[in-house]
Amino acid sequence: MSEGSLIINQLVAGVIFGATLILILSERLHRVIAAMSGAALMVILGMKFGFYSPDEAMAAVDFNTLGLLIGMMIIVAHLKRTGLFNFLAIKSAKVAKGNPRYLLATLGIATAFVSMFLDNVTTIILMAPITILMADALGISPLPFLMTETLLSNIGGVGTLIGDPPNIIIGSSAGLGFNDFIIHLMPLAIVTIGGSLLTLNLVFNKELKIKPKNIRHILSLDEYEAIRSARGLKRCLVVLGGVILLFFFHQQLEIPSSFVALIGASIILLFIRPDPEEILKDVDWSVVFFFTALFVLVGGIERTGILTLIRSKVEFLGTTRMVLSSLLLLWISALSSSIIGNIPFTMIMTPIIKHIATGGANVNPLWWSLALGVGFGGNGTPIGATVNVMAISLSEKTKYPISSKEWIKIGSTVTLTSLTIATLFLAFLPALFK
Amino acid sequence: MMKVRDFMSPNPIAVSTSNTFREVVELFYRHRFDIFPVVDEKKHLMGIISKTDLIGVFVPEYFNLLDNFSFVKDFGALEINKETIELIEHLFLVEDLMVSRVVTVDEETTLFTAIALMRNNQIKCLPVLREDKLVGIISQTDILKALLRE
Repeated sequence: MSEGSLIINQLVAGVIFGATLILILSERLHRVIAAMSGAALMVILGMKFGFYSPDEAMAAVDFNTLGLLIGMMIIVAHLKRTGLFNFLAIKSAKVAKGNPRYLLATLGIATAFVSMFLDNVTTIILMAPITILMADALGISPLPFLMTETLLSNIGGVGTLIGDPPNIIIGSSAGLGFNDFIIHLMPLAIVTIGGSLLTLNLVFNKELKIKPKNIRHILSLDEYEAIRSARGLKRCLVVLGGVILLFFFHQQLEIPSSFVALIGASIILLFIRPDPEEILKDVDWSVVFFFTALFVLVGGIERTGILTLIRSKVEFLGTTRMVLSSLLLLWISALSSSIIGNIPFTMIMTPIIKHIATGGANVNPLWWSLALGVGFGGNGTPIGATVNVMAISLSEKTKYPISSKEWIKIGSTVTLTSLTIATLFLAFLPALFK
Repeated sequence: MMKVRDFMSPNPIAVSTSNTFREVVELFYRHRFDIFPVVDEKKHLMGIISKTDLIGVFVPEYFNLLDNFSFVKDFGALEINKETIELIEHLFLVEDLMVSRVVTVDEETTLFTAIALMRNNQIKCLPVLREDKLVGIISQTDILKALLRE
């Protein structure tokens, strides 16, 4: 291929990718429509200019990521019908004895823990209404609780392979398994949850100072009444427990993570035998199509060699002192995720880090920095992570809607706290991220 | 062909966007209709208001996200008391509560279309318009009464 046509190809692919990203960010078009149209255009013009073919586009889609997402969504679709989330929220409130400060901690920790294994958006959709109800019954603002749950669900999700979609993408492209994430990221995620809770306690000091009116109403909630089907819940928990156990061994057994989730999904369908149509409606297909389209788009720009160009600019990441490189990547990832969203950024970065690895460098610290950066950075702005948008729209149904300005103020404070903790870990415990 | 014009109740009682909660409740009490159309001074339809819209104010919007609340024995600060009622009856206006996306028919629409619209949208009555102005209301009761008389 001549130098001239190479530049034209790069220009075409770059413009399609950039325009799609702008359309997604401007919200002028639904992100799925924008991404799918961009992907279609990438393939059509790729064929015309000879840099991309439909077969190559198919190969660019990471089916392991999609399978893991769909499998876990099917399991969660069963779990959400059991009332488990209401049970957890009520239990948290009772442990906190209705004290707002304790309630912030118990609800936050419960959400962070659940988010380590289940999808954040579903967790927040199910935790938010009961949280708002409890705050309303206490006569206090639900805002601190709603924001804490959302911010901590993003932080909790960083700790496992299945907790956050970016981790699924990273795990799949880097060949890192469930245990790798637990060993390398879980300790840091737990410390960050603690640190962020302290920060949120200070940020919401004024709201949490208020003495709630009627604590006895919260104490009179019956968490067992919240469970809709004890039998269904038991079966769901057995399958989920089995799936998590299998995740611990999937690398030794050489089973891809998507298979673990899909096996779990099949077993739960067989166990519970719901109407499959109903369950499949609960799979967030817009996420699946958005991911697929982004994979096709990134595949296109990868074929034109743009990423190789970028790689030559960031090659030093693999050759300079790894601690410095990983710190740099951590902060860049956080900042970029806040601006363009953590999923598009992760998809752009994974092939670049993979390219750096071909030079022989041990890039594992870079993978961990990317996961931490995009996970924590996603908290900074309303568009940083999908669940943030969801929390804001849920808050609009209350007397205390969360404004974008308020989100940025509180979210970026928590992001700074998390990144500082991550920086300290990366700088002083580099052995943990080898 | 049977037309809406021949079955509707003409010149219906309508409310304005600035009517208070209390005024609309009194109208419902006096007239026993299911809905009232909301119009501006030129009789352009702005929306409709039903008893469901009025009663809905007493429960926060997020309640439709809770599929179950049998575990709540006492709603605490949410419970309805005298102050809440006083606040709502004077503070809430029709424009805060009305539904503005409304299925309507023209007076020339056929009766069959009107019935099909009611059935598919699960609604009991339709505002009838002539050149975008409200001229009547056609309800299931109007249709049934008239058809049996025929």
